[in-house]
Amino acid sequence: MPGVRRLTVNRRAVAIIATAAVAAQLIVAVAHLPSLAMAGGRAYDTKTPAIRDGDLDPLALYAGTQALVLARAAIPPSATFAVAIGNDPPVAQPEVLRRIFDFWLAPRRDVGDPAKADWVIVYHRSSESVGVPYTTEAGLGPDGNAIKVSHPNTGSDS
Amino acid sequence: MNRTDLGLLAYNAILLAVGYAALRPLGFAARGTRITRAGLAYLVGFGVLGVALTLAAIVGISPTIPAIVIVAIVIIGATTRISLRPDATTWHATPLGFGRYGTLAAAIGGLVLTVASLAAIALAAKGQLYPGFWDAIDFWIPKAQAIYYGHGIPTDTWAGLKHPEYPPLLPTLDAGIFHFTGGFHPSLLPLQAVLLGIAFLLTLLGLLDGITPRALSLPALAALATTPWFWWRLQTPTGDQILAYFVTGAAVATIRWLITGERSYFRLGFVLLITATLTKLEGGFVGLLLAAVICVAIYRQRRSDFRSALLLLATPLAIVPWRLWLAHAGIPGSSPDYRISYLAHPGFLVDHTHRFTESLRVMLHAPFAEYASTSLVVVATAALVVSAVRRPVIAATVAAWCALAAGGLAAIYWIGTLPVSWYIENSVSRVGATVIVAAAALTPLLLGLALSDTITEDE
Repeated sequence: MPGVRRLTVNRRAVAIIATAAVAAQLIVAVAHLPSLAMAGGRAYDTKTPAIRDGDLDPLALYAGTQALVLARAAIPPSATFAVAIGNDPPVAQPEVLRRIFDFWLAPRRDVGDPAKADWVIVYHRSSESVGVPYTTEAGLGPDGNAIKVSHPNTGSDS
Repeated sequence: MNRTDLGLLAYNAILLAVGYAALRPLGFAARGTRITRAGLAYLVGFGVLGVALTLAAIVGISPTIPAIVIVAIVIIGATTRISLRPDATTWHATPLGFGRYGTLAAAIGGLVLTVASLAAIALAAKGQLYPGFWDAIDFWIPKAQAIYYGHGIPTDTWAGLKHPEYPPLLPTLDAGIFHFTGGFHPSLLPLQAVLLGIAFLLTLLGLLDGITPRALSLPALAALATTPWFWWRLQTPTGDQILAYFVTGAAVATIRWLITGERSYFRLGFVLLITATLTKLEGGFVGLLLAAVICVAIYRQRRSDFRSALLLLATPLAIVPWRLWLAHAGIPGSSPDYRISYLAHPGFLVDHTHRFTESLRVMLHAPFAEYASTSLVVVATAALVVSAVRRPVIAATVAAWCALAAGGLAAIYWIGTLPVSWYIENSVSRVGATVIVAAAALTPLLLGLALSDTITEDE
């Protein structure tokens, strides 16, 4: 009969293995389900944050969210910036903190060197300690300031 | 309903519309149930729109609302004009009578799958897990940000981001979401990622139907969906999990084509492989290996389709426009973490043999670190063994592809410039997961095939 392939191997043995496989899969799936369902249930019971808070809140693990919000407000989108991180108090992972500012402040571009930046985010240190002349200082809450760098050679503030 | 909700709704409606339109020429317009077809339409819509928008972005067209709407209309219009020969036949395996126990197993599997999916949606709707994997905020989302703010792919910014050589399909689509929702809102991305993940699971169910009874497929998909690392990664807007969806979808579709000869599955596999290629560099590599083993198997089993199978080998060429863009922008086209040319230097390879053996050792042991993955691998191995007895070519094809994919990844770590411990810590679990997801998805297909006394062509 065209289109029909006859197979000859004992199907009973295969059925036993398939049944064992299904049992194993269901046991593992059912065992994991309560913890996943609880994670979903807890999330369902949580109030949905406003969209901007939802974007920002997960970053609190890495950086002061007030500093992130105020830095975004202070620094114009077309400006460049640098992040100067101090030890007062110490920051656990300075590179991670820098990446978080890069992430949150885009399209503002991190140029690394405070002397070449339009703005410097001064985090856990004093603005004077950065060593660049500046014209404006904007508070970023308890974590620091944003300073607008004065570039005397170009005759402009930024 | 605010602007964000409306934008998200419109964006998803467009994905679905494109997907449904593409199902007709692919040959899936009338296949499957309404729910599995919806999943397939979403996955295919993501792929087709993603590929089109990526090519548009490469030539300088930003994924703004008008651009996405126009591209979608063009795709939908084109699909109505494409006339491909439909499958004259549909194949059905004769299912083993599992009786009441089978119905119960399917019901429990379906229930677990539903609860796991709803829990994932509830969590994703809060959006709090978007930085769950560091890569998300290190480069995947920043790339979408760069396209969104740069009104296209901005050369300078792109070059400064990590892995600029990765193709931009996912960042382009994410930038589209930002345009639709009126701003840079990364907390919306987990929901999109979860919707795609659920669409993937529904797609698998549809691809397995006809060969695998649901008494087998639903428990298998429930086990995959509730595996902790898979479930939590449903939330992450990174390319690794999405790559796993498209590679796995392509593998199941092309293996099914190998089994039955239904051309619809070949076409679907072709589209999914192109999407995988533009999702991440590994997509082209793993896709090429899949195409190669399918070609060998088709040559052995059904030589009349060999020329079609050769077309699958061309899918990695979808990367060419992106490589041209990189060359034009002066950005290296390969990762600085390894040099493919080292594979041709026996001296280098001998000196670094320990890297290969250590990588392979870790890759072989990693799935056994927790019992959910262990059960996936053990069941997949059992399915391979029993199907090897009854359908050796199919089983050998699956085994060869999984082994080649795992070996290929270990070879990348072999020639890598970073310490092998770095790869083991940071890369194996993410990239290697594709092979485990694919093996888990192919398990019910192999079992269904092994159980079928006859595979019948319904005229």
